[in-house]
Order: sequence, then C-alpha cells, then structure tokens
Amino acid sequence: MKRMIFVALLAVAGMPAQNPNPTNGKRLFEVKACYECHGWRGQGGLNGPRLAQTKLNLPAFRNILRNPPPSNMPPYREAVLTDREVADLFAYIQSFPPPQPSETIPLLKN
Amino acid sequence: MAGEVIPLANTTGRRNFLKRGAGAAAGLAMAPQAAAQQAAPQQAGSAEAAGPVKPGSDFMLDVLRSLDFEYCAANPGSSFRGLHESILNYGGNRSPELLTCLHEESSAAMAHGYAKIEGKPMMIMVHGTVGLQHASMAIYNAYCDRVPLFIIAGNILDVNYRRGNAEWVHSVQDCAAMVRDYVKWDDNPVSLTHFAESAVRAYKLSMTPPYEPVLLVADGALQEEPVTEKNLRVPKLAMAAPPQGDSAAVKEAARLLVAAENPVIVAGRVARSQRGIELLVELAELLQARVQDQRLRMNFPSAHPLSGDPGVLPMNPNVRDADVLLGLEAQDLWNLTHRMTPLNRFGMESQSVVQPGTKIITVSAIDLNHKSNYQDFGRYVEADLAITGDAEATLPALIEEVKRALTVDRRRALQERGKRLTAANEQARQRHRELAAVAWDASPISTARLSAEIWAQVKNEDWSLVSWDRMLSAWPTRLWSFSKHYQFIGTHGGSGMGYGLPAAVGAALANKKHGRLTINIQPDGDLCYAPGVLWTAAHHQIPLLNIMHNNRAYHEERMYIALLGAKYDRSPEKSDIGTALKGPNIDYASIAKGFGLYSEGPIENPNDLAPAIKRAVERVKKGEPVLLDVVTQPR
Repeated sequence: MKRMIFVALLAVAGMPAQNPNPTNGKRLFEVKACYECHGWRGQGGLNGPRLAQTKLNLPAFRNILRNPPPSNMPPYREAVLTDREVADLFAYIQSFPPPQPSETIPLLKN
Repeated sequence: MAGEVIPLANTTGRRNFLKRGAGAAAGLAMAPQAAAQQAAPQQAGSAEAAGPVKPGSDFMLDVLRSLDFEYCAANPGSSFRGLHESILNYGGNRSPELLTCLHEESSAAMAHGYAKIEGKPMMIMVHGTVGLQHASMAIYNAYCDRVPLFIIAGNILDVNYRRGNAEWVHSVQDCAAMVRDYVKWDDNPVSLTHFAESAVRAYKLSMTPPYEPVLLVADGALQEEPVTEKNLRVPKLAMAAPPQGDSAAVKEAARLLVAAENPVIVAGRVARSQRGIELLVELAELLQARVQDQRLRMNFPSAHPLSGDPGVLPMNPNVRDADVLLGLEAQDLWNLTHRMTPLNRFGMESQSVVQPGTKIITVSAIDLNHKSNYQDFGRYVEADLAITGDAEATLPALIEEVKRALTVDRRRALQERGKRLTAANEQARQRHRELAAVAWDASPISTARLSAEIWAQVKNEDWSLVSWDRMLSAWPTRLWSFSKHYQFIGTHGGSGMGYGLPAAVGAALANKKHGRLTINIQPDGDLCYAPGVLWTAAHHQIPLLNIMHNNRAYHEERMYIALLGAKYDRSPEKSDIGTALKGPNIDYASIAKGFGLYSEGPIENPNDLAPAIKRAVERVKKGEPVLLDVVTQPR
C-alpha cells in the first residue's frame, strides 16, 4: 500500500514511476535528432553544447528541454517528448563514458 | 607586348582576302593550299574558304596573354570555339593553358579557389547562354566573396552567322544580363579594338579592391572571321593602387583605439597577402587588442595570444565587452553586434549586444561596389566612424597614427591588458583540447579526432588547407597553427553549395608550382553537386589530398526542420526525409576511383585514420590527387 502511494505521488509530481530505460533513450537520441547538434556521444560542437558528463540533474535537464534558452535548440514539449522519454534520454546521456584526459592523448598535447 | 602594335601576319583585311580569292578564281598563281581549296565543292552561300590569314581570336588571345593568365578553365562550347582553337594552335596551349572541365560551375569555382591562393584571376570560358547559366551560382559565390574572376562568354550576335538551331538557342541579345547583378563590370565588344580595350579595363577593374568577377563577351563572328582592322594594338595595363582611407579619419580611428579600454578588431576579408597578416599582427600588438577573425581569409595567426576564441558560434559574445570595435572588411557586422529572436522563439526582435556607447569604426572598400538586387551587403551598420578604403591598404597609415598616439604610460597599460588576453587565450586553447578528447574513439569519427589526425600528418609539411572548417566545428582553427596567407582561404562567399571541391582543385592548382601540400576536408553533400572536377584534377595531375567529412546528411537543414517542427509540437522524427544521404550510403571512394583517383574508404575506425592519411600524403607529394572517404559525426 505504501509503495502504491509512493508511485502515485511520483506520478502526481511528474516523475517517472519506472526505472528509466537508456536503450530507449539511445533510440530517442537519434530519432529526436539530438545527435545532430550534440554529436553521437554528446561531445558537443559549435552548434550545441557538450552533453556527456553533464552536471545537470533530471529536473534541470527536463526544464531545458521544455524551455530551451534563446538559441537553435528545439523546444521539446510533452507532445514531442513525454516525461518518461525525457528520463530515458537522460539515462542514456548519463551512460556516455568519461573522456580520456587530453594530456594522455599524444595528438592533443600542447 | 602591351602598348605595342601587334604585327599580325597578313592582316590585310577581309576585303583584300576576298579579292585574293577572286584572283585565284581568275587563274592567277595560287599557293598549293589555296588551289586545293578552290578544287573543293563550294558550299551554298559561302563566300570564302580558309586561307593564310589569322582569325580575330588570335588577336583576342594576344590581348589575353598580355594579362598573364596561367590557365583558362572551360567546358567546351561552340560559341567560343575560335578562342579555344587559338589557345591550342596559335598560343601553343601555354599562358593560358586550357583546363578541361566537366561543368561550367566547376570552371568558375576552380577560378574562385585559384584566385584566393594566387592573388590574381584565372580566365574561364563559357557559352553565353547555357554555359553561363551553369556557371552563374559559382560566379555569385565569387562575387559575395570579393574574388576576381575573368569570364569570357561566347555568343553569336549577328543572325547571319547562326548556322542552325543549336547556335540560335546558344545565342542571346544581352549575354551578361543574367549575371550583371553580381559581376563588377561587363562589356559586349563589337570590334577587336573594342575587345582589347575592354579586356584590359575588365582586368583592371576586377583587380581593384573590392575584387570582383568581370565578364567580357567574345562574339563568334569576331573570333572566327579573319582580322580586318588596321593597327591593332594591345593597350597597356595600368593597375590601380588600392583605395586608402581618408587620413583625417584614420587619425581619429587611431585616437579612439589608443584611448579604448577594451578595443576588439573584427577581421573579415582583410589580408590579401602575407603583408596583410603582418600588418594586422602589428596593429593588434601595438594596441594589445583582441582580434576576432571571421575566418573569411587567412587574416591573423590562429595561435597568436591575441586571437579571439574561434570555438564560439555565434561570435557575438566575443565582442560584447568591447568599448571600441574596429571592423576591417568585416562581413555582416550588424549581426555580430546584435542578437535577434532565434528560431526557437516566435516573432522577431533585435537588440544590440555591445555596451551602450561602444564606438564602432569600419574600414572597407565594399561601399565602392554595392549593387541593389542581391542582398549580400547585410544590414546597415550605424558606425561612429566609417572609412571607405581597402583595409590592407589603410593599415600602414593606421599603424603609424597609433604609434604617434601612444605615450609611454599608455603602452605600459596596454601591456597589462595584453597579459590578461594572453591568459584567456591559453585557457580557451586548453578548453578546446579537453573538448577534443570527448568521443575521441567514437565511430562515426569525431570531427575533432579527424582534424587532429590530419594535423599530425601535415604539420611538418608546407601545407595549405583550402576548405572551410565551420562545418567541422572549426576544429582545425582550434587545434592547428595557421600563420601563412596560403594556409587558409575562407569559404564560398554566397553559401552556394558545390563550391568546395572545385575551389579546392583550383587552389591546389595554384599551390602546385609552389610545391605545397594542399588539403581539402570535403563535405559529402557539397561533393555531389559536380563531382566531375575530380576527373579534372586527375587529368591535369593536380596534387590534392581530399578527405571526406562524410556525415551522410545535409545536417544544417535537418536541424532546421527538426526545430521548426518541435516549435509547433511536431516530432522531429521525419526530419531526415529530404535531408539524409543514406539508403544507400554513397561510396565516395568508388566515385573517386571512377574519375581516376587513388582512394580509400569508407574509414569508420578512428585508429585507421593515421596510416591511411600517411599513405595518402605520400601519394599527393608525388603529384597526384587522392581521396579518403571518412565517415564522420555530423559536426
């Protein structure tokens, strides 16, 4: 009973009730065209900031998706990306491996 | 040759030529050649046959050779067949040497790339109708990029000389009309004397800043009929000194710059030569001012401590803190100093991003050549001091005035500013290296990895990157060290796709005699417009390292579709329709092989890059064009 109430409260708060699915997040990263500006590994570029190792938490990430700053970032509202899908997407972005330190890459040594 | 009377052999005129023919018919002594001609059946309406005189096109070539063209790029066309034949047989296919092109757009774009390396125009020839139509977009690119091209358009104006339907549909009343909005000057000469004068005038105008394309019509009959005019001569070419800014205005600019607490120099198409780079460095170091290079030319050394951060798009945050902004041949300065409502918002508002009271100084020659129809001039800049004059030509005077205005105390204060800018520059470069490490081992290959791998293989060569790098998130600018004028040539000018590959071939041709290693990082979509120029590179043995940035889509357009859809709560999932280049994937290595190039790919593993680039560099250094197909991240 307590668990059901907890799940209901989460739903009311707009939080996903199930564990996020990074596999679905990977699919969304492609079909929702995130990789176009942020790169397949979330490395970023001139057209979009780096997402890999983001310091945002899920609510902040969702807020930027819903209300992006003035830029060429599409506004991903509920009709385009549900809260559940946002959580899946965020889980996938969090799965990007950390980069090697640039000092350890001979081609990037100063 | 210039200014002298040209002793064309047998320039006795058409009247005498016909008289000679009549004499032959009357049984006078004849040369064997003329006798053979008389024996041939006479065509209806034909009053003459070939004889020992010279066609008008030979004289036209004398004029063109006086302008020192190394090359003439052309896809063959009957309306300039006279000049074509003269180049081969009268001129010995030297100065200019004919380049066989498979599309007129390639001819013009090759000339565009060539001029930015060599600093002078290449001649191209096109049909006055269909050929010029094909070439028109590339001419527009050159116009927007302030690059000189010398275009000869063949045309048959006199109806009496149009020998059938093909020559009717290839003839036009006003040939230059279709491109007049984006050439600096054109003419339609009706005599050889007229052609000579207009050719020299056209060259001079094309090479007077702002540089621009020019077009001259070569009439078919004028090319093909024997010379009849007396005392033909090639006019002397008198090049104009570039326009320099008004001295009082330059002095005022120096005063404002020296007094500024945070001056920023925005460099557009400033440096026309290595001297231009040296002058800009001298000015920046005197002022200890940041230089925000728009990378439309090689203006400023990319690793210079006063170089502004190239890893920012749009660039306007980099000018936000300026109290004096100096725009040198800057492109779209208004857009750099303002923020507009972006595409992910509704409506349109704009506001300045610079501080209230910021003084804006502009130095540019472009006001000398504005036209109305095409809107390449950008939004009106409310400058505080607008100086009309070529920036490179004006820099020496500006530097002298800055030196005069600098006191010892002021120099000391500026050195302190320089230390801050140097520290910020080093921080930015370190940030670029850290960002480049992200997705280092990814496949598709990251554009940072691709750029770093190329740099490792070419940095000890005498290299020249002849492609724009904004489509690769400017990674070459962020990771390489550019310092020589020929190491970077900017971009298309008019954003007309299909510029990249032919411009690279033209630039590589200009680099060839200097023994430079030319590198073209080639976007896939751009290559598909007119890939036949690969054959031109192979045929003329133009050494060029082409490395594909094969991201398999028109990504910028896909981003726009995704953005506009999402703005109206529509999913971006269909945005790849009409924008993706997949299903099937395009096999660029096979395309290149088919045009006669050595090629490898598709390369998808980043660890395969270094050995492949090494092999390719060795081949290019031996004198051949090569293509590596590399499958990459979008940007």
